[in-house]
Amino acid sequence: MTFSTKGVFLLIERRDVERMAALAHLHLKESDIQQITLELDSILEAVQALNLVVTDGVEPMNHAVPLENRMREDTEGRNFPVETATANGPHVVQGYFRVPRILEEE
Amino acid sequence: MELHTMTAGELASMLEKGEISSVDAVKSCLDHIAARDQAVGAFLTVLAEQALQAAEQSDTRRREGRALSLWDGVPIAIKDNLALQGVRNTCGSKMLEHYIAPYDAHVVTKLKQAGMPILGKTNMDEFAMGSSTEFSALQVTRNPWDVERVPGGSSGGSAACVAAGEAPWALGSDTGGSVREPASFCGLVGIKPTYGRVSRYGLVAFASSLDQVGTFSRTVSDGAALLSAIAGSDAKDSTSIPDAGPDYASAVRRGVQGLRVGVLDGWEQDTVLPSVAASMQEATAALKRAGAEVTTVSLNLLDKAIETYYLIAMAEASSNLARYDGVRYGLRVDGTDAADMFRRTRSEGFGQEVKRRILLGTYVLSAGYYDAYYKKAQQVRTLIRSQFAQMFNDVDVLLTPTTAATAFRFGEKQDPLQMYQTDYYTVPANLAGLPAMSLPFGRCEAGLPIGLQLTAGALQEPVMLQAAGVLEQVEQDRRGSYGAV
Repeated sequence: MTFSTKGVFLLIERRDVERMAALAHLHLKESDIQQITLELDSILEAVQALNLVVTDGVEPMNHAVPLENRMREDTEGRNFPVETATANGPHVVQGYFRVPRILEEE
Repeated sequence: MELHTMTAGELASMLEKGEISSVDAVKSCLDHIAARDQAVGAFLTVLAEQALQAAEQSDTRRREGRALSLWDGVPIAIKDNLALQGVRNTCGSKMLEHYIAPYDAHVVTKLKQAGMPILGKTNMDEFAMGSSTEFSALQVTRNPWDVERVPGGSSGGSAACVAAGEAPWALGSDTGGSVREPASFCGLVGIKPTYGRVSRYGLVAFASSLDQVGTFSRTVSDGAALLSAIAGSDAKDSTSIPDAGPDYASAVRRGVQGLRVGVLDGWEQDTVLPSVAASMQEATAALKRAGAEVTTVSLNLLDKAIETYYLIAMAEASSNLARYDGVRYGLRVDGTDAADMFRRTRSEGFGQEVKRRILLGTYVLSAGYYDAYYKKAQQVRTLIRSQFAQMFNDVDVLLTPTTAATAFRFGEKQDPLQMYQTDYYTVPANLAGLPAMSLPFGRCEAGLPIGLQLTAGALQEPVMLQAAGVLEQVEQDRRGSYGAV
């Protein structure tokens, strides 16, 4: 269990922050982890205020406007040429995005 | 009169009469950018050559009687998260510093179809996450009213360039107040339309259920005109509303006879600057004099809107920003394997505030916390929308301050929560998908502009423009000037 500078129990701990960083593919500097943990904790503490609102049986709102699927005819359209679509690629070889090895060798 | 201090409406009228050319108007803006922007820092990219070329084409069209719109030849600036083909679209981030947009955003296509030369792309908080533009990874933007102060954010560059006379009007984006708050800090009219009124195609996503393109202008009429120019359905945005919308411009001079204006019960107890409170009182009195009925309304979930907003916005941001992996575009930092490359790219490419939001968004969407945080916020969002819907049975438009205080100094808000609190009055409209606008009304003791906010029911932009038109008249009668410094 981690305690804040105020000596109170934290809602989020260092290992949570490390786990989130791993999930989000972010590397945090050792010196930043403590500060970020405290900042995220204070934000989470503030949002606890929502627990005061009774929401039993209330539908969660996913979007600002009621949405329906928009269907269209399955017709041929215009697309970017490959050169345009890949023009911003950091490493493009013959129209393909080149990335470092993903699979381990057998 | 110098062209760069004119409103878009005045420029359009002079262009129509042949008193000036579009090249004159664009040159005047470019000269002013050259003279002023070193100090203000509004633009990340200035498109001098392209804007002049577009102006020449506009002048030819006007000479041949083929003007594309009333606004043909009136220059404009756009926020650097709106794609403009062939031009970099940085979002104020190192991640996209060298990214060149391969297509035009829907709103950019609309501007081009109306014949407006685009002057350049403006600075912003990284990925629109911020309320001061201090989180831009690329540049500092200063408030033209006082360069020691922030212009507001996240569309700080768009606000600053219009206030500095570098452009007659501009586009920004508003996820939780990113048009209205900088408009308020810079003494401008800023409009966030109803969610879906304007297509988001080509607007780089931050929080998709909240993002909306909005306008900056020196007058309400210019704002209404620019909204008309960009509104309308778009097959490429499945959330865009099929109908193009009413005539916004005519609403501005319609008056407020019989209009029901709501003010929040007990707003005087809110911690607003005394001068902001005085502006509220004056505005209420002015609307009454003009024939509006002013009544007190209550929205008791308003003080939960910030918490609701930040949970939802961070969750959506963490999901939207997962696309920046160094594979197809943007920054890549090489690593030992793909996972290492993702991690290095994202760690170097994103700034601190963006990382904070991604981490918290990941947390509230993760197993075990989803219901407690994310779902809870979505439920409160439903209740906030219902409260607004109920309130709009009794009133046509809600009047509040845009921000509790005027523009703050650089570095003044170090604590993230303190910065988020700046958006107290602005986030509710995004949560409920409602149209809202800020307009300048009064000044604080330090001489900085105060912004008041009008919020209307869904698709009711004209009603809010009616009230804004009346308040603007009062403000112009006592000041005799527009929002340019």
